[in-house]
Formats: sequence, structure tokens, C-alpha cells
Amino acid sequence: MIEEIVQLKKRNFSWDQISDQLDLPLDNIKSKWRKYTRQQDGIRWQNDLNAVFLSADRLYCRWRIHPSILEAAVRCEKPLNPAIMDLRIFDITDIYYNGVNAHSVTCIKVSKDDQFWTIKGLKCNRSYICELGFLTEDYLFFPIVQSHPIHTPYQSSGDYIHRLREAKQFYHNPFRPPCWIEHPDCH
Amino acid sequence: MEYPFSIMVLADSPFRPLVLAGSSMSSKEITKIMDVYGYIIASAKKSTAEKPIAAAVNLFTLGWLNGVRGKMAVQSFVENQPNHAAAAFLNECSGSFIDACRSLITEKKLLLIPVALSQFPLTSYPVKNAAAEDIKRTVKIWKDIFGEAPPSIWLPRGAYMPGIDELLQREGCRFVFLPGEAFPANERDTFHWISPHGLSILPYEYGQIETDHNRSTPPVIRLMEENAYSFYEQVDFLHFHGSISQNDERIIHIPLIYERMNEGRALLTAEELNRCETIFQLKHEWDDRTAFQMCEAGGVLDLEWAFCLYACLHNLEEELESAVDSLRYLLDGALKKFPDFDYAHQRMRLHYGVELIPTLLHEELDEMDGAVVMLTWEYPPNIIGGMARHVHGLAEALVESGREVIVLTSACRGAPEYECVNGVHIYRSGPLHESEYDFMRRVADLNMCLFQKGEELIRNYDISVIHTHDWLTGDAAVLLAENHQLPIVSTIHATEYGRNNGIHNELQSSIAAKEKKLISASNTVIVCSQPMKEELRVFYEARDKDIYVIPNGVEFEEHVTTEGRFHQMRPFIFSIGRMVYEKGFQTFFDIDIKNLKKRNIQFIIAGKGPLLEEWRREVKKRGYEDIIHFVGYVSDDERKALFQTCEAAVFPSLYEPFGIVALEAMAFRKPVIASATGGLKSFVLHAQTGLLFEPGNPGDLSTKIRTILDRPELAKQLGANGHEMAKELYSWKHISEQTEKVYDQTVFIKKMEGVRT
Repeated sequence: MIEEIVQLKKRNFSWDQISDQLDLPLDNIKSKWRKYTRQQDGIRWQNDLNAVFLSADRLYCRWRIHPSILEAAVRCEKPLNPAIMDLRIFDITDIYYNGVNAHSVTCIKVSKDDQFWTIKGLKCNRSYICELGFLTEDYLFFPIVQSHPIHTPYQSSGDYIHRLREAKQFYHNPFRPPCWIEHPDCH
Repeated sequence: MEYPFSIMVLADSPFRPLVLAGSSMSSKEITKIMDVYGYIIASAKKSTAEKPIAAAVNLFTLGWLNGVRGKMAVQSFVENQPNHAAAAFLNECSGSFIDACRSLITEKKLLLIPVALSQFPLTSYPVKNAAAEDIKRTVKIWKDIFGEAPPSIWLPRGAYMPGIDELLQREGCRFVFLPGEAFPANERDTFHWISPHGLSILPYEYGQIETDHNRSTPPVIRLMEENAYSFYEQVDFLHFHGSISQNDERIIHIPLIYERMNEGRALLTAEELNRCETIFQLKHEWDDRTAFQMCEAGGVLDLEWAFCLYACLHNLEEELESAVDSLRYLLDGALKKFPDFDYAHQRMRLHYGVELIPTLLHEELDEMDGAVVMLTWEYPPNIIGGMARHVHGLAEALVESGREVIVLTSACRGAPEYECVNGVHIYRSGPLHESEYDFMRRVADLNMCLFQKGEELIRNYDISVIHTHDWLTGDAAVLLAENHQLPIVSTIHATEYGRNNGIHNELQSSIAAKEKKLISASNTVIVCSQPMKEELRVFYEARDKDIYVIPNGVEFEEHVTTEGRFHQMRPFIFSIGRMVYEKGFQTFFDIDIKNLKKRNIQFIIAGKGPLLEEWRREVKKRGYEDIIHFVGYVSDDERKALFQTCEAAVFPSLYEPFGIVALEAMAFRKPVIASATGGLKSFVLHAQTGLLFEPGNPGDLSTKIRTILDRPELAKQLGANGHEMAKELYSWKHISEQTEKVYDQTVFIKKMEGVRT
């Protein structure tokens, strides 16, 4: 049944026409179509870059970029070398990161087929964000995916005192977003 | 907060169901489990409500004990070892380990909590939402066994970061244990620590049975078969004797902590993460709909997956292989709509010991028949030029007439990623680098983000047409349309050729190329005036395109405040637009200021743009500071107040495809003086609905301004006529009806193409 719906949809039949053609209720057809597209998409579309701590100063980055996203990116900007990707880690401590204002950046060349990388030597009490992209023909970085930001531990446990005021403020008024980085699942 | 227990044990030994399945009830493996868990309840039984024992337990083991085989194992154990310390109590509880725990919990002798189900550090899931789901799953199983949420969840490897407190609290937890090293040694026992989300924190440290426990906080003892008996024997002496009363609350923000972090130990290894990657990939193989096929055996797929991850993390090869096979078998049945419920129930009852309530179906997504996705680089509250107002007016009018509209636009600080305003679904995304200096790269970045978001929307909604506004979002629109064989309508608000009176440099040439590409890929093109249509035909090789002329619409507002920072400057002539050359504001510098000065008239020119500072300097240089005012950005309310209180509105553009601001002035019944160019000519009819002057001619402009000031009756008449015309021809209702016709036409043409192929 879904094969017939797919065929008709490819020929740009409207939902009503498909419903008439197959003599099935409209809702039924749409539900089958959605299920089908989700199955396809669930397998086809996975684009993300995840950065998680291996230790206080090591980060593990893993990414999945669907070829069609890469293809789309290449159409937006021509890469210098399509076989090489750029993994970048930006220090974004205490700023609203806008792509050009990071305190520092570390660039790592990875192969197009790589899927993960370990970044060592993070500094204490700093915020970082990772991006995967490529260098364009003009030797400029073009980002494709961005990780959730992370924040490294304090230098010493007593350093919590520097955030005490903000922590108290948030505790008493939790309706405004906190001024620190939270677990990505909270959003 | 005082510690709600006197000593704590952690029973998190690996759970190996395959080993258990192959062994007899009196086998060593089962005895090991019974020893550890039996001595926990025996110790709790000995304690008092003032000094309860706390235990964090492996939820898979607990579930197994609650299942059919687990219950048989307990009964067999009680029969075979009638002298075991827990035997009599278990007998009292009809051989049910869970009933024994329940009874002790009710008597407040035992404080039982689960270790998070998969035992994967919650800070380090490389999959979005996996940590939140792990916590939810843990609580769901706990509720299935004990009927209520656990008071806390033990964090695997002590790993915590901000936000985990919120996730725990959402599920009903009241406190959390964190490694003591997260707190300064001299303060650790002084305060009642509270997380910013309001969860009580109890610092912990591991201890040994043999050591002296005269410390201020209760130690955590890892309980295994080797030390279970001696723990039970010595538990009375092990009770922590410190008397602490932490009355002072202290809120603490901890960026990251895990056990032995300060010693430089790793939380996880890359090998562990790589090993688990195959399990994370498995999670992508099913969705809510597939899970729904299994709803009768609610949550079995999730539970199997959680166990796969647990087995993988603990390197239990046989268990992992068996669990993956089991998951794949169930998944295969669900995907073929022929799930094996017998097997699913068997797994639940025997293996996991839970009968989860059927998974709730996610609410059906809103049906969006024939929805239109509009791509635009600006949308309120992000207003840069006239496009935001245009798309906003059109989108709301389309919704009004019953069309479903989804607007996909760039992110804007302060505006949510998704909201539904007056029926319009608004999604915002990108660019990742909002302050990128290179304009073309910023646009490319934005298009990538819109494309990815658009893919998500097309999966969730029934879309029948994509409508993009200008080349800025063209790449995303074309990619989406190509990928999903959707028709594409583009509105060209202005062209690079027209803006610059030709193409003179590389940037302009790249933009023009993007415009051509979009026009060529569009099934139909909408422009806002006849001159624009000609421009496309002549300069953009669009002779064979279906180009429709639909003017911009305008809103009519009845009540507008007239107060504001410009109130004192009356009388004044108002003008507004981007501070760029083609808007022609430089014409003001050469008007007949001397003559106009006598009339005490001021000029207020609002808007921002690259030439703003240069023009301000020019005003100063010429000594016109008290007459011409480049006021920069004005808010929406200020703009309305300015229109409402001005004597006339002047639009001196050298190039203007449409000129929506002139229509706005008409909506306020103000006389409009506009340069005779482009779209302005089509609705400013000279001496009827306004006055026209030669573009770039300051002398002509001065004459027209004088006419308006000298003949108030004429000015009033022009204002009234302009208002009538705007209302008649340019109401959003009228515009949206015309746009809908274009949609229908485009979808029809696309359909015909489909039939031909």
C-alpha cells in the first residue's frame, strides 16, 4: 500500500486524489505517508556533533554528517579540499559567541571519513564549543555543525565562590535562564 | 539538611542474567546476589528509624529479583539457607524481596535508591536527550516496582554537571549525592548544599568497613559478596556517630565533577565511547511509531536498548550479544507490524521484572494540509528592512484565510527557536556565525541552517509549496525543493542590478548570480511592481518565467501614540529607509534650505545603514544640524508616531522596486512626496495620491515640499486620497488572496510536470 502512495506522491498527486485513487480515508493515507517518511528519514538524517568530557581536560567529539548535508554545504561554499574537514574548538568563556569573537581557536584537520576525535589540554574553568566544517577556497572556515557548549571544572573546589552570586540569583529567580552552561538535555 | 541515613552502601556489581539463567537456584551466582541483597535488608531490619541504612542498587538486579525467576530464586534461597540473616524476614514477606524492601522503607529503616539504569555517566552521553531519557526510564521502572518516584538517583561514576539537578527534580527526586571533592574540604560539612535548581546535595566519600567512621558525614561502602557478611556483622558499630547540623544553606554551582576528578583520573575512555557507539547507532533504528507497535509491551524496546548499553559499557560480551539479538528481533517484528508480544512479555517478566504501563502515544502531530513554508532572512522582531514587515503581513493574512503557514527565518537574540504567533508557526535557526564579516559567507551559513531545519519541518508537516523571499534564503529553498520535489515560489523584492544601477564589482556579481540561480530554479516568481518584472525579464534572463506582479500590502492602524522623543521637533518632514546610496537621502543636502528655514520646518530621517555616519558628518559640515536630523534606528512605536505627526513623508529613492514605506505613510493619511522611480510611480499618482519629483533633483524636491507646506488643503486631500487607494489595493487581505492564487497555479504546474515525466 505504501508503495502505491509513494508512487502517486512522486507524481505530485494531491492527498485528495490519492485518497480517491486508492479508495482509502485521507487520514489513513497521511498516517502511512508520515510513517514511511520518518522511517526513511530516521535512517537518512543524522547530523550532529557531540562533545563530551572524557576527563577534566579532555573532550571527545563525535559527529555524524549526512552526505546530502555535506553536498548542500559544498554548494553553498566551495571547499579547498573536499577530502579534509576542519574540527575547531573555540574558547567562548563569558561571551555570547557569534562566530568571530572567540578568545582562541584550535584547528584540527580530520579526514572526511573520520567520525570522532579526542581533544586534550583544555584549561580549567573555561567554556568551549566545537564546530565541524571545512576550509573554503579562500582559506576561510565554513561551519556545518556545532556542538553544545561545555564548561570545564574549576581549578579548585573553592572557586565556586566566584559564581555564588549568580547561583543565588538563579535559585531565587529561576525564571530567567542561568548564566552558565547547562546539560544539553535541559533545553 | 541532615543526612537522612546513618551509613550508605552501593551495590552496583555487574548483573549477568545469562549466567543466572543457566544456573540452578542454589548456584553460586544466585547465592552471590542473595548474599549482597539479603544482607542489605537484614542490616536495615536491625537498624532503627532514627538511623536508617541507605542503599543504592543496580536496577537491573532489583528488577530481576522482582521478576518470575528472581522470586523463585529468593524462595529457593530461603528454603536452602533457613539460617541466613534475611531468611526469616523474607519468609514473613512471602519470599518477596521487593515486599521486604517496601516494608522496611515504610518503617523508615531503609532508604533505597537506584543507580541510573544504564550506569552510563549522565554527563557524557554523546546523543541528545539520552541522559534525560535514562533518568526518566529509571524513575518509570522504580515507580512500576515501588509505586512512587525514588527520592534520589545515584549518578554513575559520580558524574554531574549543571542541569542534571533539573532533570532529576523534574522526575520527582529530592536530593542527589555528589563526590565530596566537589566541595572545599573546610566547608564540606559546614553547609547544607543546594544546587541552583533547588536540589539538596549530599557530599559523599567512599569508606571501608574496617576504618574508623567517626567522621562528620556517613561513608559510602561498596558492597560485594566478599564484604557483605562483615558489613552485616559490624553495621551497629559502623553507624556514623558525627553530629552535624547543617543549618546554613549554601547554593553551589559546579561546572563538572566526577569521582576522583581531582586526582586526574579519567571519567570515561575513548575506547569505552567508541565501543558504545554501535549501541547509540541502534537507537536511530526506531521511532515513536515503531514503539507504538510494541505499546502492549510498553517500553520493551527502550529497556532492551538500555540493557545493551549497560552490557556494552561493562564489557559483558555474551550479555550484549544476546540483548542486541533480542532487540533486533523485537524491532523487526514491530517494523513489519507483526510484533512478537509473547516474547516481549517474557523478556519483561523474566528478565527485567517489570510490566511497564503501555507507552503513551505521542499526541498526533497537527495536520497541516497544504502548508506553505516561507523562508525569509528577517521576520519580526528581527526587522532590518521592508521584507520582515512584508512577510509578516502576508503570513498572517494567509493564516486568516485558512492557509497553514510556517515561517523559517534566521535566529534573533531574545526570540524563541519556535513560536506560534497569530496562527503562524515561526521557526528560527542560524547562522552559526552571526557576526561573520564576510556577508556572502554569513548568508551561506544561514542557508545551511535553514536547510537543515527545513528538512526537519518537511518530515513533520505536509508541505505543498516553498515560498522564499529574495536570494538571501534562495539556496536553502532550492535545495529543499529539489530534495522533496516541491514547487518553489520566490518573491523578488529587489535585485542587485537595480540596487546598484548595474553590476560593478565581484560581490555584486556573486549576488546577481545567486539571484539568477534562484529565479531559474523557481516555478513561479512574484515581484511587487511592473518595473521589477521588466527588470527581471531584461537583466535576469527570465523571459520564459511566469512572473506575477503582486504589490506589497500595508497595515492600517487606528490608534497610535503621538508622544515620543521627536514630539518637540514639530513641524517636520519625515523620511525613513536604509542608509544606502540608492535610497537617495543625499538629495536633502542640496534642497533649498534657506527658503524652507523660514517655514521653521525640520527634516527627520530615520534608519540605519553603512552611510549613516558619513551623512551625519555631511550635515555637520554644511551646518544643517538644527534642520536635518539623521536619527538612526527608531522603534516600531516611534516610527508610527513619526508617521502620525509629520507634515509630509518624502521618499527620494533613486531605485525603489516597490516602496512599502510610502504606502505606510498613505495609511496614516499623510501626503507623500516620492521620486518618480520604480514601484513608487505605480501608486503615487502625481497630484492625486501624492506628488512626484525627478529622482535626485533637489530643486524639484524643494518645490514639491513648498507646495505641500503652502497648500494645507491640497496636502490634506492628497493624504485622504492616498489612504483610500492604499486601503483599496494594498490591504494584506487583498494581497494574500492574490498570493494564494499563485500558489494554486504553481502547485498545478508542478503537478503537470510530474504527469509529463
